[in-house]
Amino acid sequence: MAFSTAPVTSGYTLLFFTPAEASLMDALLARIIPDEPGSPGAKGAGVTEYIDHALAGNLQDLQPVYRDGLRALSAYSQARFGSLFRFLDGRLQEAVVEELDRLVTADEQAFLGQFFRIVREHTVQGYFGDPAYGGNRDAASWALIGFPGAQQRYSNEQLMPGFNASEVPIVTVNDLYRRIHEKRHGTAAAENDDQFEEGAGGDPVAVLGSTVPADRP
Amino acid sequence: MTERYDAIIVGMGSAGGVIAEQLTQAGLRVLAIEKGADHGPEDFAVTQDEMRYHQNGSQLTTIAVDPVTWRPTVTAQARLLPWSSGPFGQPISYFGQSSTGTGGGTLHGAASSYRFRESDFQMRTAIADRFGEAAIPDGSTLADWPITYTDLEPYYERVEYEQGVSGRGGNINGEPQEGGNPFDPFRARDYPMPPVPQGPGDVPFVQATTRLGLHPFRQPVAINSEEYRGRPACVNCGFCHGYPCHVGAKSGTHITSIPAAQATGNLVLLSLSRVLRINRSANGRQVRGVTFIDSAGAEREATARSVILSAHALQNVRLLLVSGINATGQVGKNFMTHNFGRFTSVLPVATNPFIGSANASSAVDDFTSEMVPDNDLGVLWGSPIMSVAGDLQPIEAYHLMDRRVKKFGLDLKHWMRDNYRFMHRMYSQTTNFPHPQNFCDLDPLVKDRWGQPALRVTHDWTDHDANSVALLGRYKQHIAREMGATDYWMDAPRPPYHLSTHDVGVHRMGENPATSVTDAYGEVHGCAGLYAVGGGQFVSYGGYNPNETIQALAYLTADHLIEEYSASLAQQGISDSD
Repeated sequence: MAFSTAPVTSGYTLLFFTPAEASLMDALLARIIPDEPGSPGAKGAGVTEYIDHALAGNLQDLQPVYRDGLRALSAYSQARFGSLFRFLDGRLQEAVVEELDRLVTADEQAFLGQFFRIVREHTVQGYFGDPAYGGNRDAASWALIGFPGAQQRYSNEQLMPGFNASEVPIVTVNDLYRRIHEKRHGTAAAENDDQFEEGAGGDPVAVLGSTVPADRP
Repeated sequence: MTERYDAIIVGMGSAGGVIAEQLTQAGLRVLAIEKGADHGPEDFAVTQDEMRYHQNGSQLTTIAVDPVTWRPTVTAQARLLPWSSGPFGQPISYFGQSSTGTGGGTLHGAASSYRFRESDFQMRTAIADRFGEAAIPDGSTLADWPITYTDLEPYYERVEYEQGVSGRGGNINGEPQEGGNPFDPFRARDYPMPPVPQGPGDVPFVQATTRLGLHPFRQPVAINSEEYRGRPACVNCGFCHGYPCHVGAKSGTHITSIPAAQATGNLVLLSLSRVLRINRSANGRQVRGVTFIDSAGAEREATARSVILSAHALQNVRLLLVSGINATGQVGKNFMTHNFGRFTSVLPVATNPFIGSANASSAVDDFTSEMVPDNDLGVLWGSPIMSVAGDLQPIEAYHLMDRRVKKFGLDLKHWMRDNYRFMHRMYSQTTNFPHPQNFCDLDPLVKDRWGQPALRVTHDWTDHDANSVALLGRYKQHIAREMGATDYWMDAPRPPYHLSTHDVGVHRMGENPATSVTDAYGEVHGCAGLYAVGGGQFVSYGGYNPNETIQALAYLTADHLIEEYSASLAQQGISDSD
């Protein structure tokens, strides 16, 4: 038999969640930071991918919390509204999240509340953190709030009041490493880039030169 | 096999780096033992990653490696601190203790570099004179320092010139200086560099405080405002508090003192190595050396005439206690820490809070220390109010959000969209009085992976602590309104944290061994040659950041050690010629 190569989620490989869990995560995250036309929220920005990959890596201690938490969320929706969370309409999903949010502070012992606190924290991390972590696709959240990202320097003039930071092209950590690599290999684009012109030790190419692997993207 | 040195330094951070440089340049052979990595400049070429540095704290220790427990009172069960075990039940890093590796706390700090005031060294006398002896809280061990500001003034200057501090002195030998802080204590020389450029959010703060009749001044920071000693000026990237500096503009000892010490050829630096215990002579009166585990996991022993603990106040205490050194029962007493009273505003003008370092901004000293106004809350000691201009990344901004705003749905998303670029922060640093109810000792249950007991902190905020935050909060509120803030909110006066890099006092210095741990040079009473240096020596605590005083004390200790070393050489010289 042939395996299907069609992605079961929106284009990334699941490392921890089952497809059903990933769908439920998408639905939950969409209520924490909603998508809007032209402005991705947590689901659209790929935060489920961030959390999935983190759970397979540095957050692996939390695997049981997520597995149990998603099951508890399903049970709660089922008991309260007679349906799984992801099949509830928007108004009812909102009511569930409202209750989870209330539990966070109202009852420190409530597992669902603690689960929601953790999910929300990770949602914020995935949404506003660097795209290298798997969320914040296309740096959508940074464009939304006007954060120019991983800038390595601003001039003293840009530090003054009245500077419109939204004119600065957004930079990610990956861009920084790419520039280091390009400058190391003398491409024209990097030659014209004044990002790293400043000072001794301020040029990561000089600093990193010999340590950046040649095959780095 | 035992290795022999003139001195052993435990911890290559803020104080340890300074002492290593001084001793090796004077010709002493020094072994430095550092539990973290030996950082080279290539380690920090790309630091602009809030997740890696600020959320995951990649250069910090973790609760799994350096557990600390906390309880509010002696009758409560101590537990691993909520954030130190990670709010998610994870052994993630935490900001309760300093960065590890060469540079220590100077790696990740926002580099505020304040001198303490004259009165901060005589806090007990100043309070008794103004409010009466009866005003001092019952049972408090508040005392004056064994040294004065005048004693330390030349050492402050050395920190500013040798490490590199930017600022504008307000009082040079009694002469008020235009643009400086009018409440400054005297200084012999101005800072070696002018203040760093000011972030946009600080402009309304300066305008508002000036209109209110207060006296804003630009904060002194250990960050280059211009090229200094071969290191470049700050390039305003805005990844500063919690981040190592990618251009080396922040005056961390990993790029100032430690390379200088290495250049002498007299320093043996063992990184990723951990001291297990301090060894003494049979009668306990003379230090002998240390037993440690090196980076390969081998247990080794080294001996020296002097052993200097500079591993942060709390870890100094843990090392003393696990080594059984506590003859007068004072080790770990007098725990003091800062309550930051964070205050967040939304301003009508864009503040671009992500540009420039956190302290590229101003402060007012009108309510600091002995200048605390008469008040109905019984607050006896004040604090500066600092404006925070830059260094605010999105995840941290979310954590500062107004508690009244719904933290999900479009409320959350739109709040960040509409307010992030307009945020401004203020904070103060009020402290608890030294009191027997606040102390640290060894946890009877929790052990680290080497089988040694964790440190246990017993501390809770008192009414005076909470009232101090409330009082400073009133002034912050006046300032926020004068800035035209469209919204503002502040931290609870009894915050959930009890542990920060600002923890001090726990190996207090003093002349009387019955009420202190070390003398003014940091030498531990009753154990010749053993020194405990750093914020642990502080006798009382005002509202300024501790680091410049920690480094001034380190220079003082280094001078003392070098004098002793020279005297012993001279003595040997005499006996040789006999």
